[in-house]
Parts: sequence; structure tokens; C-alpha cells
Amino acid sequence: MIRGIQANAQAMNALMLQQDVEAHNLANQNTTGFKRDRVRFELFSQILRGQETLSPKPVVTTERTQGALTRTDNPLDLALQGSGWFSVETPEGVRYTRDGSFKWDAAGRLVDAEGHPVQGTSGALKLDPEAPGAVMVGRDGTLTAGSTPLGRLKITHFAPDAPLERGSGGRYAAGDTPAVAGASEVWQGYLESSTVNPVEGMVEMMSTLRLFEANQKAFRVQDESLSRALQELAR
Amino acid sequence: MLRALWTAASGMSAQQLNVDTIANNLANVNTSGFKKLRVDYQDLYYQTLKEPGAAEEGGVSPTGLEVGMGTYPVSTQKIFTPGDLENTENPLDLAIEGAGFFQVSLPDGNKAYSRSGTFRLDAEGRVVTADGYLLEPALTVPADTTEITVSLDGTVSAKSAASPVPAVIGNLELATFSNPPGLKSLGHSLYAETAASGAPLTGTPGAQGVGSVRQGMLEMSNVRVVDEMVNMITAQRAYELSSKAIQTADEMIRLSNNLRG
Repeated sequence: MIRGIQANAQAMNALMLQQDVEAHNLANQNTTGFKRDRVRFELFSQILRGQETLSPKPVVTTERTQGALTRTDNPLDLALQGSGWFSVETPEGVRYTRDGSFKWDAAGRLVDAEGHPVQGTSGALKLDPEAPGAVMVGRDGTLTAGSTPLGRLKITHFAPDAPLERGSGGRYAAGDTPAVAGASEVWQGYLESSTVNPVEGMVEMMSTLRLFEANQKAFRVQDESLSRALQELAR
Repeated sequence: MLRALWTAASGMSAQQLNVDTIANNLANVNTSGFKKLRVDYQDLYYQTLKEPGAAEEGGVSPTGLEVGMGTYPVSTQKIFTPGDLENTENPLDLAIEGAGFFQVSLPDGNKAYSRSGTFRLDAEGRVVTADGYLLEPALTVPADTTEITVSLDGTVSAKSAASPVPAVIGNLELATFSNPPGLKSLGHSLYAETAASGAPLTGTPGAQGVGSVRQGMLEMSNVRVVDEMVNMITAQRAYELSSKAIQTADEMIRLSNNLRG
């Protein structure tokens, strides 16, 4: 009986975590390059491994699926079609991002929305003062101003389920995860939309709430039975 | 649980800022030389409840447990795509075809930059903006002028009754920036230089990368009403969904409070 109460309480904790994650997803519906988080509950696998357990264990995974490309016509909005990542140089080290809303900074370097320099295959990407004019970005990530090449964007690929540590601002750290070969296309004048689906988010929230309610009801039933047992037996 | 409330609240305030920006864009749909703004968002800090690779029963945790804390607006980006050119046939309406900016001197002596070319003459014959600020470099049109022509390279010539052959009275100069979205908006269609925009480079209209001047034309706002309407609908729905997330979290707290009837 006490075990049952504990199981329900732990399930309620896990469902609260699920609601936290869903609120985060919904808050990021308009965040460029955002990848949806998903909570899975691991229980069955543990039972299979012969471990007795009372509560489901929540696991948060980031689903690295391709977001839809939205046309913006802004020449420095770049989107990746494929599983690659742009790399930016931050004070904490190299970080990987899918958010390609870049700009030139005052020194003429290509930087991300927060001013971190974007890496090219050979060093930072800079405007050439000798070659003014519109900068074109090819599908292979080559930047050209007029006919002057400015360099090529560094696009890094990782294995689909390779662990990446998520930081704020959509920037991920690779740690010891090795890069793998891959091919991605760069689309100029487009941004990758968030992969959050509002309808799924709503359904997820409703089912979380009802499951929570069911656990709460089960908790109360057990609490009442316990109280009844104590009253009747201890008389 | 309180995490979900604050996370969803960050989503709501983000969408509020989005609607504010869209409203400003829509209000300026007929402002000549106006450049639309867009709010860029990023996801907030992640709280690590369990490190990836942490030891646990039966091996190491492959993914860890990270919960995000919502979203935050990282910048309002000015989108410097060209607006359509409108033919006004007014000789002092000038439009820039290219990346340059007109230079204007403010009463406090500082310079400002503008894409809006609705110029006129003041009482002394000087070329000023609609707000009366002087064009830089200053240009004075002689009193007896009958016709002003501005060529693509910014050469201004005037014809008068006394001299039927047009005489050059000055040259226009345009400024360019390495990062125009880094300019500070001053209102009145004016922008100011900042550390983010870089120093202005002045050039003759028509030179590469500066843009040429079109007389009798005005650059219209680059706001597209349909796009803004779509953005507004998305923002409104996103706001609504985040408010539902708050309601759900609230309901879960209510249920927890009722564990003991």
C-alpha cells in the first residue's frame, strides 16, 4: 500500500517534469533552429533487465529532425537542409548551432545573433573591403562578394544519436563526440523554423494533465483505504 | 512545477514583444524608407538534472536529464531588403538603388543616416529632410532655379531663366556600413552609427556597393502586409498556447494541493 502511494507520487513528479519540458517546447515555437525536447519514461526496459522498480524514470531527448525552411529574403539568413551544424566561436569554446540568422559585425566578420564569430573551413569569415557588393552564399556554403571568394562556411556533422550537450541560445557543445562525414545544403535567404508542433504540444499537455489526475485519484483512494484500515483495526 | 509556469511566462512575454514589433511594422507600411524589424529568439538556459554520462545503476546515463527554461528575445533585427520604388515625379524625391544611406546633420551637430529621400528646400534654398534637418554635404539651390536634375551618380545641376544650360551646383554623397542592422533607430526614418554598425564609409553614388540615386522616386516601406498578418496570427496562437501551458501547470498544482481531501 505504502509502495503504491510512493509509485503514484513518483509518477506525479515525472509528469510534472514532462509539463516543464512541454512548456519549454511551446515557449520556443518561434525560435529559429529550435529542436523539440521529448520526455520518455523508461520502465519496461528496466523490468526486462530484471530490476525491480517503483517509478518510471524520465529521460529527456532532443529530437534532431529537420525543421521547415521559411523564406525571409534577408541575405544573411542561412538555413541548413540536412543534419549539419554551423560552428561558432564562443568564449567557452566552439559551439554548434542550427540557427543561421547571421550578420556582419563592425569589424566585418560574420557573426551570429549574439555576436559570436562564425567559423569557416579556414578561419573566420570576413568581408573583403576591396570587394564591396552583395554577398552570395552557395548551396555548398561558399561565400562570394561579386567574383571574390570570401571563404566557405564550416558545416560539421555528427552521428544522429551522438550525445551533444545543449547550452542556451540553441548552441550545443560536442565534448568528445567525434564529427562524421555528411552532406548538407546551405540555403540563403531562408531560416529553419522550430520543430515544435503546436497541435502535438496541446495533446501532450492534455494527456499529461489527465495522467496526473489519474495518479492523484489513485493516491487519494489508497490514502483513504489506509486511513480506514488504521481506524477499523486500531479500534 | 513552478519551472513550467515561468517557462511558459517567458514564451508569453516573448510573443508580446513579437506583436509589439509587428504592430510597429504595420503602422509603418506607408512610411517611405522604413525598414521592417524582426524579433529573433533563442532558447534559454538548460537546467541539468543529471549529467550526460553520469554513472547510474546498470551503466552510464546516455543522454542525461536537461530541462530548458523557456525562450528570450536576443535581438530585433532590422531587415534591409530594398523597398519598392514609387514614381512621384517630384524633383526632390530621391531613392537609393543599392545599400547606401543619405547623410543628414542633426541640430546637435551629430550625423544621422536615412533611406528616406523626401527632401525639400528651406527658406534659404538649402536642401533639408521633411523634418528640416540639413542634407550632408550641404547643398543650396540658387533662388532663380527653374529645374533641378539629379543624375544617377549624384551630380545635382540646376537650370534657371538666366542660364538655360544646367550648371552643376553640388554632388550627393552616400554612406555605407559593414553591418547596417547594427545601426540605432532614432525615429523620423533616421539611424545613428554605433559600435555594432561600424564607421560609415562615404562614397559617390554609382560606385560599386554604394548604390545609385533615382530622382523623382521614393523608396517605399519594405513591410509586406500579408507576411506581417501571418506573423501576427502565429504570434497570437503561440501566446495562447503558452497561456494554456500555464493553465495546465496550475491545474496540476491544484491537484497536488488536493492530495489530502
